[in-house]
Parts: sequence; structure tokens; C-alpha cells
Amino acid sequence: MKKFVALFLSLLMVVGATSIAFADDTITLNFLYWADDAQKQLLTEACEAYEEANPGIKINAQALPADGTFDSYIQTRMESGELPDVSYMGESDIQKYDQMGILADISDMLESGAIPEKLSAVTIHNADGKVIGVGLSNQLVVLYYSKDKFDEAGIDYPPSNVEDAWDWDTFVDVAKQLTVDINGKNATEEGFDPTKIVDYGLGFNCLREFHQFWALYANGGGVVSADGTEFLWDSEASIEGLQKIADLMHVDYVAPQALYNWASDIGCVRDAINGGFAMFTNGSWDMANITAEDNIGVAVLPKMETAVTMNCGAPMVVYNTSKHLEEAKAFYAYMVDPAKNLPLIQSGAWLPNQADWYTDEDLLALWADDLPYGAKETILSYSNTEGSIAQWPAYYVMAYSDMSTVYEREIDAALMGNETVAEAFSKCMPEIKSLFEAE
Amino acid sequence: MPNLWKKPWPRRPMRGEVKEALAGYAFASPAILGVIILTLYPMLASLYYSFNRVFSKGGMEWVGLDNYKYLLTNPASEFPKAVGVTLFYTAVNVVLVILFCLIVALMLNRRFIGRDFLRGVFFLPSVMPVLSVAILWKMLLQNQAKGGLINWWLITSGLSTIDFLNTGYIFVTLFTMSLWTCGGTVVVLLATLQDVPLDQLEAVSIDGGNAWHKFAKVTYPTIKPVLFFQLIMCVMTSVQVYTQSVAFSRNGAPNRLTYFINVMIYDHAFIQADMRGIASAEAWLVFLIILAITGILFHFQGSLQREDRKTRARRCGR
Repeated sequence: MKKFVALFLSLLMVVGATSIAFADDTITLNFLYWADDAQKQLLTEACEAYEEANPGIKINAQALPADGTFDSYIQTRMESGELPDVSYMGESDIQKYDQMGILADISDMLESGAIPEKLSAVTIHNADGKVIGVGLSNQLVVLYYSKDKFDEAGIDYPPSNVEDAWDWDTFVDVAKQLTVDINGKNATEEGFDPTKIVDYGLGFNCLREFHQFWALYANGGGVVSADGTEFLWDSEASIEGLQKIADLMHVDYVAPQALYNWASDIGCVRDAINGGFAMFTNGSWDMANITAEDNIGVAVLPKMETAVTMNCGAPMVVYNTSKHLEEAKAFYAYMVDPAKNLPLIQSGAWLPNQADWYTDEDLLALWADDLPYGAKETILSYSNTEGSIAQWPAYYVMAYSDMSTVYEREIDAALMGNETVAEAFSKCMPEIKSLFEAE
Repeated sequence: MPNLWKKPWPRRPMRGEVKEALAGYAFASPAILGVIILTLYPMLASLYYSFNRVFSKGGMEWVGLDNYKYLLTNPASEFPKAVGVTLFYTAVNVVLVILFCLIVALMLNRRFIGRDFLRGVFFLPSVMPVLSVAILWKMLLQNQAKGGLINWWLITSGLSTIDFLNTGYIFVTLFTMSLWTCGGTVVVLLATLQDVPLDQLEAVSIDGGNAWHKFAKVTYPTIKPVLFFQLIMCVMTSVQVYTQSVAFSRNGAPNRLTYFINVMIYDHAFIQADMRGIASAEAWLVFLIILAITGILFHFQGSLQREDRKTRARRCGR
């Protein structure tokens, strides 16, 4: 009896093993991405639509939290040889991983027309000039605001037009009027207590990378010039621009402390504006989480010397270790096509990555009409005004990842008000500049 | 009459003993293999890595002691600050935890109504996963405009708000979390307190001693060894603090004050590119530092050895 049971169990194991070997020949593509709840839902639907249109292909989509776990995940996968076929990639990581030699060259798809020409702001080239990724979307840093709080205070809403952007003093004054302490005094009044603030005029999601770099460009400085040749980060204008941001927290008292760390609250705009903030800066992806909120409007950022915002927008990449490179590239072309991802673009989570979608009336009607209050005007104003979008240097500066690591070490002291921006920069800029010039 | 000159070992083992010994090793072999493969081999491999420059895409380049030199002498290295921050956290945390747990254990050792319920209350937080605890505390301590309840309480009581997460007060947050979850230590100390001889306590009160005398002369000598053990355990776990820092901010914000050793090693090994050799060197330097600290602690163990009549007699020269 015992021998019979042993024989039966071992036969079962063999049958199980062979049934795996005889598995049907569906091709499974592993797709790695990050998303908040709204985006996750929409992305899952996009993948399902692709599977329906392409029988024989299965998309194994896996979501990671958008807080930096991505790096460790990819590096561990690299060791075990199980990299995904297609994935999102952080803008500041793409050059780093390309230098490790794992990304596929997709220039052929652009040349053949499989992928139409994308906005140059989101087309990423490696050091040899090959295209290694295109941004899924073009996202911008914008200013969200609470219509109710502005109505109560009797102040006009922030402008949604680059030409009418508030100058810095107006912006600070409005923020002060909307910053209220427990005794009901706002920041412009005598007796205001900055240690007992109940409502803030302004909030930052975080002050990491592009969330603060727009201020450097707005003040006439920058990080690296658009053609990648000139180092602007240590210029007087950049220092002054960032100091204005730091002063918002420690001199004007209109914003709570924010640091150069990973924001862990996607969807935070809705909570912040419905909570104790009158204005809040964050990326345009958060528009997807405020579609049901009538109270929240979208406006352009204030200007310093110029009115400028910064773009971002994670690229998708294909890995050259993929066992199904052709199918992976076909799925890639599908995902980066705005027409195939309309729900994501209509929700505001993504902005189109092709220029004609911002100018052609028919295409605009497809996505731009259901966005939150002021969003359409803001986006079109930025997109169609020359020079009002600064490209995030992560896209085109090869040494960006290392430069950002050094910056990260020193900048918190300035953002916390323990040092001036000039002092913090003097500690890290020589090293950052030498990293830039070494490339 | 036993033969006092006969040496017990070594002698030729009898046949049955060999078989028994082999059987013993066979049963222990999975554990031994586990230690060799999963602990000893990675340790030695990382020692080898620490003398190389390890590239993330694969491949290594021998650099000798360069990694160690970089960590200890280069101003761009974050090793000194990370070690400083970790040792500060460890020192304060160990003192706070041991004192707090001792006082709580002493109080929970008395008889009063609701004592068992209170014991459960103190123990419960220690079984919660650290990450959930960190997220909960973060929600409680965040800015009042984002809904942080502690700051709301401060502000409505007429006090000033405190930024618990983005300034140096992060240490207050970390220590509070640590004290809140130290129920395990309380339970161990409570168990040890049951060992304290009641007749000696009675003798002290008959002789006119108060609670302090009881503690200093009877209780403390009895629990010294366990207290030392808890001290060592607390040092070990404090030096390895990681989850709380990552739950609050992945990069050791504010201003790298929470960039503890483990956070830094993980960052260098798995997030930055080409820094695995340096991460291994950091790990081995930390090993040496902890070895030194443990050595110092054990040196003082002599003064913490359990005193009974025999050792006291020896100490007093009788």
C-alpha cells in the first residue's frame, strides 16, 4: 500500500512537471510600472485591451510603489537574469542603466514610423545618440488651489495663463493673506504667530529635483543649459531662485517644511487642498485624483524673472535581455501612443507626448475638455508658449544621477533654514561641477 | 575511590560512540550547511568584495584598501556621519529603553487591580510590524494642516507646533516609537523579577530599609545578568535600525540625520550604481566597530555578574 502511494505521488509530480513543459505557446511579456490607484486602474485596462487585440500575447503587469523601490528591484533582477521585457524607468536613472548595457535601442521604431515623432522634450538619447526611451507622457509642475478658500478671502483665483502669471511679490502676498494662525490672524497682520499656523497659503508635495528646479530656471538660472553644454547650477540666479523657495518656509512662513526626499503621498493634492492648504504645487499627474472635486483649480506657477515650469514624465524602456524583443517593441509602441491610452490622458494623469495633440482641434477635443477647472488653459498655455517649459536635465545630462546624489547630501540643510542656499551650494557645487565636466 | 590521575579526554572512542556521533552530525547537518551557505559564505564573499570595485553590470576590479581609505578619509564619504548618527541613536535609545523597561517592570510587579490588563497593554505594541507602527506614527506626528493629531492638540492647547518629521525632532519621534514598542523587554524583566528572593526583601524591611534599599541591595543584584543580556540585545537591534528611517523618508532626510548605517549600506549596494564594493567595506567597518563596543561591554560584565554568597565572599576576601 505504501509503495503504491509513493508511486502515485511521484507520477503526479512527473505529470505536473511535463504539463508545464507542454504549456500553450502564449507569449508572456513582463511589464513593470509604478502608479497610484487611479493610474493603476487605467493601466490595467490598457493592458487588457492590448491582450484582446493581440491574442497569443499575455501582459504580466506588475506595479511597484513610486518611492524608489524600483532601483533595488531592477538591480536584483539584473543579478538573477530575470529583467522584465518592458518597464517604466525613472528619468534620473535611464542614463545610469543604459551605461550598464541593458536597454534596447529603439531608434529603429522611430525611423520606421512605428512610433510617430514625439516631443523632443521627452525623447531620450544616450551618449551615442541612440534613442533609448520616449516619455509615456509629458507632465508639468503646476499650482493647484482651493477655489473656496480664495472665494472666502475675496481674492482672485491664480491665473491659468503664462502671460498673466503672478510676479513673485504678488504671489507671496496672496499666500500670506491665506496663511492663518489659531488666533485668526493672517501672515500680513501684526501679532501673527508662525508657530501656531492652522491653515497654510502654500504647500509643496516635496522639494525633490524638478519640484524645486523650476525655481532656478524661473529666476534666470538653471541646472544645465538646454543644449547640455553650460553648467548653470552654481550661478547667482540659481542660488537666488532657490533661496526664494526656502524663504517661503522660513522667512515668509507661508509653507510648512518640505525636504529633498521621496514624496510618499501620491493623491496628496486632494487631501491637502481639502485640508489646510490654499495652494499646493505638484505634478500634473495628480489631476487624475481630483476629477471629482469641483473645489480644486489648476493654475500656472508664479514667475520670478520668467514664468517657467519643468517637465517630467517617466519614459518606458525595452530591455535588450528580453526573450521576445519584437513583441516587446510592439507592445511598447502601443503604450506610448496617446490614442491607445485615452483614458489615462483624459483623466489628466498623463499629458500627450506628441506635439500635434496640443494644437490640432480634433485631437484636443479627444482629451482636453474634461480636465479640472483651469487645467486646459494652463497646459495649453505652457505647451504653446515658447520657452515656458524647461526640460528636466535628467533627460539629457549623462552624469545627472551622480550629480543628484551629491546634491542630495547637502541641500536639506538649506531647505531646513539651517544654512543659506549659497553656503550649502559652496559645499557641493565644486564636486557636482567636476562630475558634469568629466562627462 | 575515583582515579584522580586519569585524564578524561582524549581517549579512544568505543565503537558505539562513533556511530552516535555521526548520527548527531547527520541530524545537525542541515543547520550547519545552512550557516555555511547562507551566512559564512556571504560574509567571506563580502569581505572579498570590499577589496574590489564592483560594477553593477557585473565584473570586479581589484583596488586593495582604496574603498576603506575612501570611507575613512575622503570628505565626500558619508560614512563618518552615518556612524555618528547611528551611535548617537544607539546610545540614547539603549539608556532610555533599559531605564524605562526596568521602571515599568518594577511597577507592573506590584499587586493592584487591572495589573494583568496593563501588562497586556504594554506588551501589545511590540507585536505590531514595525513598518505599520512607523506609518501610524508618521500620520499622527505630521503637520497639523495635513491632519497630524499631535500638532492639533498642541495648537489647541495654546502651545507652539513642532515639526516632528523634518527637523532634529525626528529623534524624539524615533525614541518615542522605540519606547512604545519595547514590551518584549518589559516581559523579560518582569519574568526575572519573579526570581527575586522574597525573604531577603522582608529582611530588608524588617531592618528598616525603604524601597530604594530593597531595589539596590536585593533586586538589582539578582537581575543584573538579565539586565546585561537585554543591554546587549538592545545595542544589537539599535545599531541595525532601518525600517523606521525608510518609512519616514527613503534618503535619510532630514539632512541625513536618519541616514543610519543599514540605510546607507542598502542605498550604496542596491540603489546607487557601482558602489557594491564600498557597501561591503562599510559593512565590515561596522562589524569591527560593533565588535569593539561589544568587547567593552563584556569587559564591564564583570561588574554585572550575579552576586551570590560565594562571589561576595570572594570579593570581600574571605
